[in-house]
Amino acid sequence: MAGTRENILVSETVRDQFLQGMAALDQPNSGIFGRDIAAFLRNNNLPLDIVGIDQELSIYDLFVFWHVLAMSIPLSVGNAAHSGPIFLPWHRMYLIRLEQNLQQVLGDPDFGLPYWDWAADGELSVADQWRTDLWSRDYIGEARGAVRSGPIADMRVRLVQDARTGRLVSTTPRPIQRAAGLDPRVRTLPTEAQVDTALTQPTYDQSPWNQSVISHRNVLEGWVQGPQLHNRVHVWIGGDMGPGTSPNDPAFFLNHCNVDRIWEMWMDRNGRDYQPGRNRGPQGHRIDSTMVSIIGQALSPEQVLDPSIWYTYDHQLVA
Amino acid sequence: MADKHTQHEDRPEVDLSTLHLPTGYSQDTSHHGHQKSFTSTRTALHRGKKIKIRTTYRIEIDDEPLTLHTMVLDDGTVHCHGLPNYSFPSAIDLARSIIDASRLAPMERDELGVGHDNHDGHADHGGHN
Repeated sequence: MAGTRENILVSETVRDQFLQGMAALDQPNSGIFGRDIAAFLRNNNLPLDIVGIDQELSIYDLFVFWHVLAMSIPLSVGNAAHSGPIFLPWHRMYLIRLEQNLQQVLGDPDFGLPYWDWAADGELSVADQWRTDLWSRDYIGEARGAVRSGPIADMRVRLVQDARTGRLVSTTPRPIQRAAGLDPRVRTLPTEAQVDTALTQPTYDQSPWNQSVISHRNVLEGWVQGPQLHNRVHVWIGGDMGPGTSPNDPAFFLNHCNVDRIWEMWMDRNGRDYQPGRNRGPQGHRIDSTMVSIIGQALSPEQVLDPSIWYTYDHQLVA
Repeated sequence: MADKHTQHEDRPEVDLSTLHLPTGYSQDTSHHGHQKSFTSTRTALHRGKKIKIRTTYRIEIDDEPLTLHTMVLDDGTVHCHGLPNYSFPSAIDLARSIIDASRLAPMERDELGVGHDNHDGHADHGGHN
């Protein structure tokens, strides 16, 4: 059943479902422990170490692990989820799996992940951008410091990537940490004009397919005069949104849902075009490349180009 | 492996028995590196002239080298895998932010790393390329 993805600041029903579902997925009852992650990494000879305490993890923690795992897998360009054409389709697949798990715990097959239209907030004054309703106890809690109020106050961070060593640390569970607007280099969110720049790029991506190209993917990912757009939101929120374990903060999914929506808007204008095609460009980024997965069937960019079997965005429902 | 829905609970289940790796990734070449310096090569063409700039960074924090891949982007900003969405105007800015972010990952005790029964002598490299 295809869900409708709506603006979290518009639909309180979707907001409440999202927050309830995230808290439910974060219960440490997956049956998978830190030692299982260690064995998994070792047995598959993967370039990521885990240290710390041997604790039972949640389904949500496994999504965090999946993201940092993908980031740790280098390709000839970027990694298995970032800094190359695969960025948008990999995160689309990732969000689909999270959405499916939320549908299951909520008992609602029509649930759609909400998005945060951060460019709308980017039009506010600097002082107001981190004081919107999104950062209240009715939504995702405090913009700065520990998240201690609201429906996700009891969510706990258990897996964190050490930014200095790259190791995955299974740490004593703690609240989510944020630092919205405190980075002196990134005081503000992206703007509508910057989203328009991404939308008006004529090509999805192009050679050399990396962080230097001018393309829809790279502008939206945020490497052009960066950090911008997607990257900028990560840096602006800061805290747990900084390292490779950034999905620890549910704001990650609100950010990426908006990124995915912008990509969908680009395809509405330009067709379901993806580059590089078959037998072109860097391996792992091609239209038929299998994307790294530990939850659900692994998909290719081709298989997620049209997401209508899974979801539709609210703007697409308007004739 | 797939999500499974149990008959008795609405809680999803995840099975780590199957890993789908991306096309083009070779596990044979995968290893935990001890690389302590990183060289970026930037190229450009200007008035028919080829420009090539090689920049090598060796970043140490308290005399310990940073072993995470660090690179200089075409616009001159510095990027490190430890903070994957960031690009810094200078390597010192990068190092400061790395130090700050590392505080998010305290480790009270290690039950999973090298020397524990659930490891078979796999070395803890502490970094990746």
